[in-house]
Amino acid sequence: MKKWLLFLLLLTTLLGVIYTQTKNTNINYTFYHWKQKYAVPTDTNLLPSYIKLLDIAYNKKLEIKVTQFKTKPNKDIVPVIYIDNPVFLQEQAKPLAQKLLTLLEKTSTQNFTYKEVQFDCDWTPKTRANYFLFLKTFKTLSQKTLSSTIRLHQIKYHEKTGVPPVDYAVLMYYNMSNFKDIETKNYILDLEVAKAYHYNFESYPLQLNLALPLYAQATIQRFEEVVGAIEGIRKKDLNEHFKEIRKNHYQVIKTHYFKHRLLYKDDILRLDAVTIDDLSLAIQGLKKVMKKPKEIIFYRWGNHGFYKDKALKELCRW
Amino acid sequence: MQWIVKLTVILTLSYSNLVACAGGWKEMYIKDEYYNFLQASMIEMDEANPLYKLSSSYSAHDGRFEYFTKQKKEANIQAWHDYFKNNFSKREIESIFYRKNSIEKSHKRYKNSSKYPAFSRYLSFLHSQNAHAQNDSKNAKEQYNTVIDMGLTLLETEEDPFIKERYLYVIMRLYHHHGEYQKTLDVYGKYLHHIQKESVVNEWIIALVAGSFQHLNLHLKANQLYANIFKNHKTNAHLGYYDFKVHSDLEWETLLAEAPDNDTKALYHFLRAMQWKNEPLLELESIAKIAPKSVWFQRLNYMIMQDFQNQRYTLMSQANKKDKYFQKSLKSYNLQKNRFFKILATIKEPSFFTLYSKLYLKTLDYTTLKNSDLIKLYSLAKQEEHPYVQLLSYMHGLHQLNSSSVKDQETLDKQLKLLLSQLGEKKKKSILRYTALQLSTLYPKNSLETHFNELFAKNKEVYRYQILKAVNFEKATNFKRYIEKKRRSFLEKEVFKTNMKKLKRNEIAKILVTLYMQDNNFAKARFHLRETPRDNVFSPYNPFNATLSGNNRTKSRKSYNQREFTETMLRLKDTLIKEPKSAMDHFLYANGLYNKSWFGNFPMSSVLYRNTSIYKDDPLPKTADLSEAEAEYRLALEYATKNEFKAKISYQLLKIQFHKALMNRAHYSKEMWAMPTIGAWNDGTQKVMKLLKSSRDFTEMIDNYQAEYGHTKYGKKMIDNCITFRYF
Repeated sequence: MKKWLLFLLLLTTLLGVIYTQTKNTNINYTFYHWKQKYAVPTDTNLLPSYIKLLDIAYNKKLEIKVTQFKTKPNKDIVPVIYIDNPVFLQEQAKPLAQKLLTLLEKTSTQNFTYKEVQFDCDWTPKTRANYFLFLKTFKTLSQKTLSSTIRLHQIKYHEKTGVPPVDYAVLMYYNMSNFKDIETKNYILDLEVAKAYHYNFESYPLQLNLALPLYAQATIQRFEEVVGAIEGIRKKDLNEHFKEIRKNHYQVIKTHYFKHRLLYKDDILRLDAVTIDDLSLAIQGLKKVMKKPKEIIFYRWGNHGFYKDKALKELCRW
Repeated sequence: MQWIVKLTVILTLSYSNLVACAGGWKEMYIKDEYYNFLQASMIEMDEANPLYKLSSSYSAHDGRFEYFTKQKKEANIQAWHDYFKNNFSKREIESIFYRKNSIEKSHKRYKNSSKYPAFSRYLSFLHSQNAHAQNDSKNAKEQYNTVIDMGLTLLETEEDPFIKERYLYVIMRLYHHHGEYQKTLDVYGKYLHHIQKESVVNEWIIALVAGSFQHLNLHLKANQLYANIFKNHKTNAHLGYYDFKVHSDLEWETLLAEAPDNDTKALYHFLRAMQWKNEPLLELESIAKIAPKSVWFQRLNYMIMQDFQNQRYTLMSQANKKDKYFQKSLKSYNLQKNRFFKILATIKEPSFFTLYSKLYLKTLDYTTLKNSDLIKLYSLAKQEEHPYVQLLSYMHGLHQLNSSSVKDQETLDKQLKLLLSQLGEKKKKSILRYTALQLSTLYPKNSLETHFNELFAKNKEVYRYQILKAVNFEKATNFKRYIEKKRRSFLEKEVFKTNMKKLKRNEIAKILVTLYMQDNNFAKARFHLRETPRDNVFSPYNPFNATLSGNNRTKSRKSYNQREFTETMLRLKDTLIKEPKSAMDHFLYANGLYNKSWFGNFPMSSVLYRNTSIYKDDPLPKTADLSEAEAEYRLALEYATKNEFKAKISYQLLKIQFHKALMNRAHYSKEMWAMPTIGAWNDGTQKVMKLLKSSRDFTEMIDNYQAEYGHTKYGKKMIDNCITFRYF
């Protein structure tokens, strides 16, 4: 009898393990395209699905940049509309929604079809009401699925920051540190900083998808202040005018132009990047608090070449 | 480091945060200045030239373009005016070229003009090319070619040199606009000798040549021209400022190697510094090595000083925070400043501005200056710069003050008045604001003088609502003392005058009424009510009523203004002196106190500025104190005999306990940033109930109420209708 019981216990454990392992299924992944010109070769295996189409800013007047399509994108894409927060301090929500929808429809007829629109706006308490009204209006006018990007703090403090009136949200799991702080370890992804925001996922009322970083940059420090950044810089790009002073930190030893940017002697470059292992750890951490997303979007297209497709696929098991 | 200590007690100057969110970084802009002791004339610059002034926002760029557009227009009108030898007024010329659709109208008007045939032909051509110059007329390539051919023929055949030069410019502009940069240069080369060196059109032609070089990746030639444009042109110097761009070491080294002299090299360093992502301070260091006497050293120094002044001000505004970002900003400021001092130390024969820069920064750091330095500065100063030497001496004296007494302040009054009489309006304001800020650190913390000095120092213009906000919870007697103060220093008079003139007629009396009401001093309030107009603050509700709702805002036949309310409160008080055990009078008096509080139906009787939210991190408003109302209700309860009345009084006491529970910030959870309210969008009801349940006093009281008064008619009605009872 005891043997039978022991056997039954072992069998249950084994089945449990098998169940847990098979439970991890693949999540679809895709990319953000975030340049003003869309020129992705059409024979590429995986074309970006989320394409920044409109870049809206306010500088005395509304400024709208429309992405130029030099090559054909996927037939069905999700156009992303980036709106600089000050726009909602100046513009009325309803006419703006109508204006952007008209522009979107005009652009789409020449280049793509869409069933969904995504908005990227880092709203603040002052702009929240206007931004949310804009989203509601856009939904009514377009009758499309709407999504909005959100930052980690907007989940932790969602009661304070509000929840955008959209069909689902995309958590941008990067750039969570203070850019201006020279003590920031890695501006792109710092899991310790991220962990401090792992709260209130369970009460967040929207379905969440996930956006993860796939890029690198060098932050420039001068007189112990961050004075700028150069995108796309990795260790292999550094030349003889740099001296490593500590992990990921390089001192400029001669004033010179580097990637069209003038660096002065004694400037310090901090190289920020993300590895597959970093992203894997990020996902492990998120699994504890976040429901499985339907899709993972990598920011951004153009950097995927630095990562193996297989590794990205493996990463997207949840 | 004395100034750090001093600054840590400096008022909170609410100012845009230096630590921006991700993505922003340092640019050569300054925030809205509250003191500025720099003057363009110190480096022999025109104050109006926007290229040398760091401005407060991105719109500064637009300002620069607008300035040069105006310069260009004026110069062009002048050129035509000269050409027509005064036969056309400047206004007429303006209407020919600069009004809406003016070319369309002018070319018709002067068609076939026998007096000015060349001008007539030119206007016709201007009209023909207009569409191609303004729009990207790709669909009209054929027409464009025809216009170009027409223009080239006119250019070739025109004999009037003034008009010929203009044809050249217009054709070059057309080519440039259509991306035909080599053709722009070719036609320029062919007709170069027709350009009049001193003409305004020459400036525009040179800019087109520079732009063409840039587009053709001939960066060396482009940068040489842009530097020349920046240095010499009157109508488009800003193009040199913005378009001088170096991309590589090779480009930079070639540029320096081909420079005719060190002064030109210094100009290149200056222009490199004007690209916001480069470092002006380190470019200044390079100029100091090669051309310390150059005008470019002076000008860059002037711009860097504006940046230092701004950084110093930002630090000052954050000094009260003492957080790690403040410490880091301070460290960076000191590193930059020390490097700057090292650069200045290499200058063997400093100019007035070089020495002034050093001494001014030291003064801002509360460093005592050497007499020999001040004497040296005085000897270098021109007559009009002497007040700036006195200014440093005055600032030093101000920093030495260790009391805010009128007597101490008066020791500097003479010097201050002298300075004000010698300087222009903007500088006067700067001195007064700087003085006010320094003195605000010496007055007792949270005193009216501190608040008013703070307002004066941090605002170019003080508004009425700011004054009302500053006084809002002040003791009436303090405000009265401030108003009636007999002896004031010169600065105190200025601050008093500036702030008080923003108030309306009779508003001082009105403020006194409200503040006395706030202090429950109804006799004094009544006294000052006599000085106020009849339309004093009123409530549409009856402030002596107590109803089901928490704020008693229930429709009433009788409305009250401050005067009626005060009279009634005084009458009740008199009655209570005679009949101290009158439960009804205690109850009515308590209702009055409750309703004039933050929570009641007449809060505006006792505040000048009302915030409808109570934020977690802000101090509780004085009018949220319900202790006197509570004491009166307790007396009413003590002397009441009927159960129905007791139920009514106890319900009011329950309301007070309710508010106390909600004000207990120690029980607020992390996500609660303000006092919650029932029915609010952000789960307000749940939050309210959570706080109530965590208050033992409230839970006990509500249980007791149900037990003791649940059977009374009044109690039953309240229990049935008040939402709170449903949760308990």
